[in-house]
Amino acid sequence: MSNVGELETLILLAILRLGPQAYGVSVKNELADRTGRRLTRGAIYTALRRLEAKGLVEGRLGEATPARGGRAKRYLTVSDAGLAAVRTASRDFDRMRAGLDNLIREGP
Amino acid sequence: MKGTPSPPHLGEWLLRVVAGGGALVETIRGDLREDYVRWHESSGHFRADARHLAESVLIGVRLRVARSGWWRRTDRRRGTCGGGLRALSSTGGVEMGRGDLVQEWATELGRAVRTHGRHPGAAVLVLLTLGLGVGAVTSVAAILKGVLLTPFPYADAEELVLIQEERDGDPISVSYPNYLDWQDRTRAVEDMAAYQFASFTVQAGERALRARGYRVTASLFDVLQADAAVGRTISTVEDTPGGPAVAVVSHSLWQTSLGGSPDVVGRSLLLDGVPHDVIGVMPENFEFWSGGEVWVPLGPLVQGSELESRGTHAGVYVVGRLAPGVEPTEATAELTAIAEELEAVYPDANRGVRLRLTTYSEAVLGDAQRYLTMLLAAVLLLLVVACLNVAGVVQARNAERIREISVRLALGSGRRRLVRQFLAESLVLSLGGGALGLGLAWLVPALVRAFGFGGIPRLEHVRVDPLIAVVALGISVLVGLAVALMPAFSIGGDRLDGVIGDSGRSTMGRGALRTQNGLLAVQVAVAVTLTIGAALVARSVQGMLSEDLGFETEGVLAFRVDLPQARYGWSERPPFYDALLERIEALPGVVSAGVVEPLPLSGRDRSQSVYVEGRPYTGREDLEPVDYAPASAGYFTAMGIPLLAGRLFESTDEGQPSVAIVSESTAERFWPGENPLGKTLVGGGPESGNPPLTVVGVVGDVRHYGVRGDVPNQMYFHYRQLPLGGTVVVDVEGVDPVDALPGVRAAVRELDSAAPIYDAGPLVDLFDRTVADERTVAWALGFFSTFALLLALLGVYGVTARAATSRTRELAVRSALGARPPALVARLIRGPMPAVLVGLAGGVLGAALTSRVLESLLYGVAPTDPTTFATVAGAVIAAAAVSAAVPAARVLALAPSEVLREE
Repeated sequence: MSNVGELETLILLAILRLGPQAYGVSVKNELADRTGRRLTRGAIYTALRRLEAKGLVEGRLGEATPARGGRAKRYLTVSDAGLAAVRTASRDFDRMRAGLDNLIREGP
Repeated sequence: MKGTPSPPHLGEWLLRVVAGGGALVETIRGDLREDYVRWHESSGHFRADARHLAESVLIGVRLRVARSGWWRRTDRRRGTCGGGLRALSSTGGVEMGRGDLVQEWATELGRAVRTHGRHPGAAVLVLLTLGLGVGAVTSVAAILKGVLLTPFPYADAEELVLIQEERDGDPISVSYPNYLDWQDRTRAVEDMAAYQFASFTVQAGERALRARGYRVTASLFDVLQADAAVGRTISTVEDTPGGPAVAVVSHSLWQTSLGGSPDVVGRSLLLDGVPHDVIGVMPENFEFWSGGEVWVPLGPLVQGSELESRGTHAGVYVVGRLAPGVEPTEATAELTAIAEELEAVYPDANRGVRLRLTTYSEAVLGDAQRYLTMLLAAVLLLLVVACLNVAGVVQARNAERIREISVRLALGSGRRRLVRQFLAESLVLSLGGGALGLGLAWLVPALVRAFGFGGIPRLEHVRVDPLIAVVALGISVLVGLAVALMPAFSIGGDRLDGVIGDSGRSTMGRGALRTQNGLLAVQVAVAVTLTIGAALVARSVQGMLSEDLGFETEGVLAFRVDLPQARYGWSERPPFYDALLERIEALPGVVSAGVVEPLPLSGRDRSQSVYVEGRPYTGREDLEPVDYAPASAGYFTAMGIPLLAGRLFESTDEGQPSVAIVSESTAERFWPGENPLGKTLVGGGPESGNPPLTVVGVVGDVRHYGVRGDVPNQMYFHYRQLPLGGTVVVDVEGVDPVDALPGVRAAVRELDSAAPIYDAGPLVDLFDRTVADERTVAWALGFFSTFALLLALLGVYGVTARAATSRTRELAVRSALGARPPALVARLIRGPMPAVLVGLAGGVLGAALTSRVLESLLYGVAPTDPTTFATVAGAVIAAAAVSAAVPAARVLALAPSEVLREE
């Protein structure tokens, strides 16, 4: 079982959210839209490579469109191991958070 | 139709170059392109392009870094799983094979930089040592390449030869009629040209300037196979008596003074006040001898001049081109036969005249070749010392690390891995040193152009070009390999297993110690050889400079005034000089002034044969050769030439029978044991019809040709009785001679505003120039040898310091047991002495064997001068003892009890 870092967890979640439309650009946009984090493309690609290398994310080459200069998209799906890793991470997160709601809740 | 905007190719290209290829990178390029379209819509073409470029580079760098494996370490630190690199490279489709090696080396070099960073002092010392070593070699190599290896700008330059006549083994210039006969008779020399050195006053607009040049036969340009860049060269029609006045000018004169436009051809140029038609401009890279600005035909000047007389050697030189396939030796044989024929036909004029043939490059480069080769040998020796020194330092460092190395070997680290580590560590240093050295060499072309380099010609060709840079780099890499491999191999020589069990003290193995002493001995030997050579040349220079020339060189200003023949006939010259000398003597600071021609040390001379009246006379062989010069009385005063008997010239001599002053040794040779005053001489012999000259004074001998030259017979005429062009000498007191120049210029201008001053400068500069070669070699050798000696002493210091450190415990025990500290220090100092003495012996032997190459530079010192050898040897021993004493004395400061407690 692989441990994943925070950025990796967020990326896995983004891919799950996007479903069949998950690829480099959309993942980046999803992260930006939901969290407001402006991550550099380089950071995302290296994290994705890491996730692929660990077998948590699977890549699949898709269609090549003229807008992409004839280059194929690389669609991303979360593997079973990836799902397990997300599950572990969020469980850990929940467990650690339990009982701290009063402390960390933002404003009234 | 307006298509989708496409991102700049540069960005896509950069991404692929930086990140490498592969399917992943292709996908990313696609993603970027998609974004680019959006950026284009929202913020416009320019911003989209900029952003695309920036993002491409950033992503590329990130991916490259990730691929290089740095993130592996980062990940481990973060506690996540590493080792994904290999998996990644297969999934990502990234090629690794070749990258592995590059990667490993990059890591190794990075590690080496960090290792050195931990001992910055040692690293900087090594960098400087190698930098100076490589810099010295590169500098000399650059000069050598520029001067010796830059091809002459002539086709087949190796076929060009200089042909001179010689009498009694001394080269003399060529008799013009002889030259014409050679041309008719020779087969070995395809074509010949004659030329005279000349200088002209060029009127360029309002300004008059002095330009050096040549009077040449038309064939010169054919012989050199050089053509004009603009217009044409001199034709045979122009090179005949009565030919038109034409001139070819140099590229630089054309550019700087004649406007640089092609319509210069056909324009009229005033040379010495005579209009000449400019017919051509030579190419920028054209060079002939020591340069020149103007070429005029020789032919029109021959008729009615001394050039027509076969017995006169009137400053004519001959350059020829060998026929294809003819060797210089064959040509010499043929020309010697021709000279013998001519001697048989013209016995009076050509008695004993032989020919000397030199290749053109040899004639131009002369001694430069020898000096530069010698300096190259010296700097290579220096580089050897630098390498040995660095090897010593690295080896000592490795000896200190022997525990670390042993542990790593024991843990299974391969020998190859260790060698690679050493190699990386020394390559980092040697490449750094090489870069530093190249930086130093970069300054050399500007320096030699500004300050000259002895009498070495063609310095304008010296430059640090890619080849020189490659040489520097190559040397650095070789040095790196050499330095690395020495300790790398000595690892195997030492037994390592015992070391680990040791109490943690670093000790040197016997093999390492032997290597270290060997390195030290060789360094000392080379340093001593170089130092002895430098000392010999330095002593020669000192000897030459302190030599009495028979006249003062300090505080004397010399200059020449160009009096155009057109306006100043022989009878108009003396009044001009009289008026000028009077004005100059009235200037502040001027003690006296006089006129003479030729000036000693100027390289010019005049000689003739005289008949000493009263001697038996059967023929010309009874005549005596004598150097002569017209002079004024003020010349002797200004130059400090002592009057030994009789009187100097007086103004009342004018219009009277001719008088002469002779030098002391001349008087002794001509009239031994007699009073020379009142004796008479006839210039050119009794049948010449010249009136006899009466000796009225005897002055001291003058070394006209410098300290190395002979002192010939010398005779002075009164410049009013034999008026020729003149050099004015001014004895100045209290101010620098150069400071007197403005006043002098003003004085000349008052008399004739169109007469330019030239060859102006302190006399001492001329003197310095005669020792320029020796001085340059002395400086260069002095610098190299000082550096080598410092390195060797540093080696002694290091060896002692390390011995002191590694023997601290032993010394403490001895001290605790009652040994007196001075005795302990003495033990330490004695440590490196065997190596120093062996090196010293080797160095003395080396100097004895090699100092012969310096012989031509030495003056008043034998190549094996015992005083020099002994002084250098003594100094080296003393310096070595001091170098060893400094670190040894530090042991005294340690309290034995503390040392032992620490253990």
